[in-house]
Amino acid sequence: MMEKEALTDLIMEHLEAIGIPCELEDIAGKEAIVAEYTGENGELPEDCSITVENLTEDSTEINILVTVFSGLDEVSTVNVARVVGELNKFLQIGSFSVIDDGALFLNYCFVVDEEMGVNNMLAAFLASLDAVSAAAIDAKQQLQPLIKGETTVEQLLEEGLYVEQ
Amino acid sequence: MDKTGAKEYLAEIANLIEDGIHEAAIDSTEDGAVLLMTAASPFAEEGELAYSVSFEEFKADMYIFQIMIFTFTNIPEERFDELRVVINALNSRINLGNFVLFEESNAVFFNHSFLLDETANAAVAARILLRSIGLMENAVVNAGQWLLQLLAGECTVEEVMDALDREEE
Repeated sequence: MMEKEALTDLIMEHLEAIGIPCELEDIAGKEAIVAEYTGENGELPEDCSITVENLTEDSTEINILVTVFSGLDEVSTVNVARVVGELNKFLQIGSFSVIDDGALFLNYCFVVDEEMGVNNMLAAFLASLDAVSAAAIDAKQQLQPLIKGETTVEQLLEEGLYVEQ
Repeated sequence: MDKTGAKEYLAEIANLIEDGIHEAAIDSTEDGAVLLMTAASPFAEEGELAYSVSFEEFKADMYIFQIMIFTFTNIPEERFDELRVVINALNSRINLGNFVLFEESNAVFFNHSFLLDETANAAVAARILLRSIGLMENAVVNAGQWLLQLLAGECTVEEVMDALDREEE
């Protein structure tokens, strides 16, 4: 069985080896990897945390949580909440959700199995992190005009929202 | 793993996960082969839930498996606004998978996808699928009850939101 602590260490080693700074933090009582991960164009999502939980003797879930926006005012929170379903419709991995205190998150959780082997686990993790971060950065760019009041929910929906992964 | 052999690969997976499945069939669509399965519904004694599993190339050396559970269908258009609010609240609380409202088909699906290296064999894919489907079913039962009650007119959006807030306390 791969203990969550061992997989957490492996992920951190892997991230650091490919030049992604990260550290272990206690977030709401859970040990989480906080990674300074940038997308291909060098943009940084506000925050990216990764947690690992053992499910059974041979399976583990890895959760990637990216903060796309935080501190949105009440109007922007309501507007972003109105388009979040459209963002999720064609998203291949992960799910956007808005919470009442004005934050837009992208969450992705997936299962890895010991039979995959360590290299395949890490490859799946890194490809997932890439796809989630790309979606977060793309969504952030597409939603900026709505948050700045330069467009309306109706205009945005009419133009179509499609997030690249 | 090879998309040209998708039918055979999905058939192998279907054989490996036959427990709890009422029916399984491989269908060909314009996007490729899809494994369609039915299992007992958690919402109605005689009812069934339909599942679809498909896979396609995601990027070099990596495939994406997509699982969809057809959760609620025939939803009247006038319920869409309420559903969007509750679905967002539920998705923010669900770990694995998410509900999506497809207005075009008047349906709510529960989705989850995962990536797997092309060297993974069907047995590994089936193990991850089974575990993922188990987690998805828990979410559909626990979170889906709120959508069921909302659609049945047994509670309002405000009541659902209050109940979800209380659950978190």
